[in-house]
Amino acid sequence: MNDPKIGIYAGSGTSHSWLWFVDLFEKAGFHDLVFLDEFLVQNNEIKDLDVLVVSGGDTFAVAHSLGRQGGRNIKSFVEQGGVYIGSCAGAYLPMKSSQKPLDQFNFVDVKITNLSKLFPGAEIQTCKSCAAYGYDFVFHPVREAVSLKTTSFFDKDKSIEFSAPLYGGPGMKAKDPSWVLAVYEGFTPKTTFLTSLKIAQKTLVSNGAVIKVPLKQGCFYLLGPHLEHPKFKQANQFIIDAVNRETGTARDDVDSKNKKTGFSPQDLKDRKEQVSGKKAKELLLSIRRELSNSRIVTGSLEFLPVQWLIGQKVYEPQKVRVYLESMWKRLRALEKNKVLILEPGLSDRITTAAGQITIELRRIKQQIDGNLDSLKTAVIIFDLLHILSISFFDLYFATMSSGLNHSLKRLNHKRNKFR
Amino acid sequence: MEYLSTDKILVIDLNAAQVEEEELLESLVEEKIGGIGIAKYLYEKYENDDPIVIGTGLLTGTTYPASAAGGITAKSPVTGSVCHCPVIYKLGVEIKYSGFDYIVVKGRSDSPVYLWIHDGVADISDASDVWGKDVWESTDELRKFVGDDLLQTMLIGPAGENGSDYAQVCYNHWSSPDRFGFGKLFGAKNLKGLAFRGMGLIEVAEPEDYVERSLEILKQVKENSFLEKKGLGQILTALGEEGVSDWIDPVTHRHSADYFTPYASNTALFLDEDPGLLEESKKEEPGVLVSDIYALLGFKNVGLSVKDAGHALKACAKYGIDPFAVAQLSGKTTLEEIKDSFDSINGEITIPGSGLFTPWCPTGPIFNDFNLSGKDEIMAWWERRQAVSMIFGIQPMFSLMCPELTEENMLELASLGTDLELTQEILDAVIDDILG
Repeated sequence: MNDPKIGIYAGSGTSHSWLWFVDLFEKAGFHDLVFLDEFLVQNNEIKDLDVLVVSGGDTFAVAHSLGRQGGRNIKSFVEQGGVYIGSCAGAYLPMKSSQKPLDQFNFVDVKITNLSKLFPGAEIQTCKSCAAYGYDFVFHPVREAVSLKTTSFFDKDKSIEFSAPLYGGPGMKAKDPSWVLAVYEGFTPKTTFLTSLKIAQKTLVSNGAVIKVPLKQGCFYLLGPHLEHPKFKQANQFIIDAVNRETGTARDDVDSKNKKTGFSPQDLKDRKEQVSGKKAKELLLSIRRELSNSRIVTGSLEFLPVQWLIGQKVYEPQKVRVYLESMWKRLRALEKNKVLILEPGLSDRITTAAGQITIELRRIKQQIDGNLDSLKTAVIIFDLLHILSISFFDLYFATMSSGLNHSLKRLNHKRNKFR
Repeated sequence: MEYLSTDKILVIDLNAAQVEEEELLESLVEEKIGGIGIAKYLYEKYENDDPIVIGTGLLTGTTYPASAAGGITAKSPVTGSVCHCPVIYKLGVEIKYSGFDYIVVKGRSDSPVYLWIHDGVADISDASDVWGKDVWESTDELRKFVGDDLLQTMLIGPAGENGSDYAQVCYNHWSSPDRFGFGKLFGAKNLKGLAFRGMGLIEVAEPEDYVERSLEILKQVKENSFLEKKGLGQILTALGEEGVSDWIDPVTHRHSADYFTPYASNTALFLDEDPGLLEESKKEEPGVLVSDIYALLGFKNVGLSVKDAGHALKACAKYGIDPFAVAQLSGKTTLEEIKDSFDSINGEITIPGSGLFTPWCPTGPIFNDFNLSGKDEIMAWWERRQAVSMIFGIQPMFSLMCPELTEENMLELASLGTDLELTQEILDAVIDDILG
């Protein structure tokens, strides 16, 4: 059986949490990963996927970027047997809404429980407790780890309790109760309350935390908390099990019907070019140089009391670090390969974006030190980080799974260990 | 070399503007251990290219007490022979964590450059923006450019650029133990200096045992009563210079220690700020950090007030000139005269013993007597102790204070850390090679 072909949306509007999915899938040995921006979704590059992941971020910005065509393509993808996994913002996206541009994504009949006409008073972290939703407010009663419990619709014989962090994701009420696979059970010692306990309980407890909504041959998995967060192994396993379960069935059905493209090293060799020797060494050195330069500035930025409100999301320098570390920690493995596999033009895209990020980070440090407005630079930096990380992961997964460097063997070994 | 090492030697050819990396072979560590043992080997390997070798000790940057030091090995314009200058503060550690155990700089650049060493990357960068500027301005500019206030630098000032025999390589903003005129060598190579930053990790062969033994040794070290003292005034008092501590007290702001070093041997003097200030000063240049006990004493002895002595030390650090040589050789007795004398410093200072090590370090034990007696025995002990400190990367001033840091336990930790069998016989041979 081939690995499921998984597309991870990393385009405009997403925050860094899609990187957690990358970690999760790589650890599980799923290395046929595709990284998508809004243009690829609009061009229906998702049609051959088994799974589409839309993670956290700014739901309105994601919806705006994907647009009506992106929405149509996602719906069609699921109807034809695809599995949509939406976490946090990605969970809000397909819910019924009259708000523009979310009204282009009315795919599932699920209501948000953390929606209010009045803004409940936030006790701490006001900026992260609430976001306007038309004339209403989506409010976030708690952050950090919450306790979840599976329902009888997930497993009629036993209930499993586990925890996962909530960073603005929804509580959910499904039209059909059988769609609810897990509910919010309660809170943990690590839960941070942004409102009163009473409001938090009323909003979340016993409401849906993980919901599976079928749509023709496919389904939507909506995750309120970030089950993909790397520190929550049991929650991670929930996602992996879901992917295995759904794509095992889906591929058996659909492979024969639609002849979806399964991954093979030969395909990669056909589509992409091989780079080796001095050219490969120079590319990797260039990546190392700029990632290092960027990490060094970012380390310094983390000492500064600064945040940026981009769209409806609050960003801190630590989020820059998450992007950079996700690439940095994979660099050494990449450097061990004698042959790199990459699309034409990817090398230039990586080196240009990486160099530009260093320049912009140094610029923003000087702006902050000089008490100047740094918001525009922050927007540029996060855009560039998206471009760089998508490009880097294209290079990384193509190279590591090419079979040319014995990397596939290592990945498969990791996968077996994970299972 | 897998453990206690970055596994890499960097060779920079300034003539060709090329950077090459060599693997640090385990066999070389088995033969030369590390620090100046290997730096001397590299110096001799590239001798025809007039090299400067910057290196770290085998234990540098670990949990072994006072494992703070690196070293510069080169041919001194002052002595005319190969000498070893310790790298102190947090800089020695940063060199190793920036991704290289040893850096060989050979040849001469056509135009001014600095070397930006970070996370295993070495860039030869244009220094035209900082050439001609003093050490403080250059350090600040590089930190601003790189965007990191923790950037560690090894730079020269106008003294090195102008070819003064007593030009010093300064560390960050401060004077260094360089009594050898290594700043002149940098200037002759059109090399403004090096900037280091690294977020690397060092692997240890037996990490749990290594940490456990380090902490046991640290516990023994902390039983020394001298650790109740702080600062360079107390060191001078222990060496018989009774009046210095009281003299600097009115301007003493704080004392600071090098990386993981139990004694705070550096003293910050506030010259233009209230020394009792408990928050970060808002003044751009509140004072100066002093590690050079003999330079401070020298300025006292020519009759300067403590504030003027501090200002003289600060001026030397900015200009990149050895403050001890200035105090000894300028013949001047006022601050302004001293500042004006930097370009005309001439004459000789005494480098003790075989001339390999810097008299920035007192030439005998501090706070403890190490059961030594007689001038010759003390000098032989001092030279061996300096060699051992710079092989393993131990802060050389602290090694003169602390009998618990023994050759035996340094070897033990080096073996635990590397999984190599490093014996007293090997160490003796390395020391013989260094001391000639």
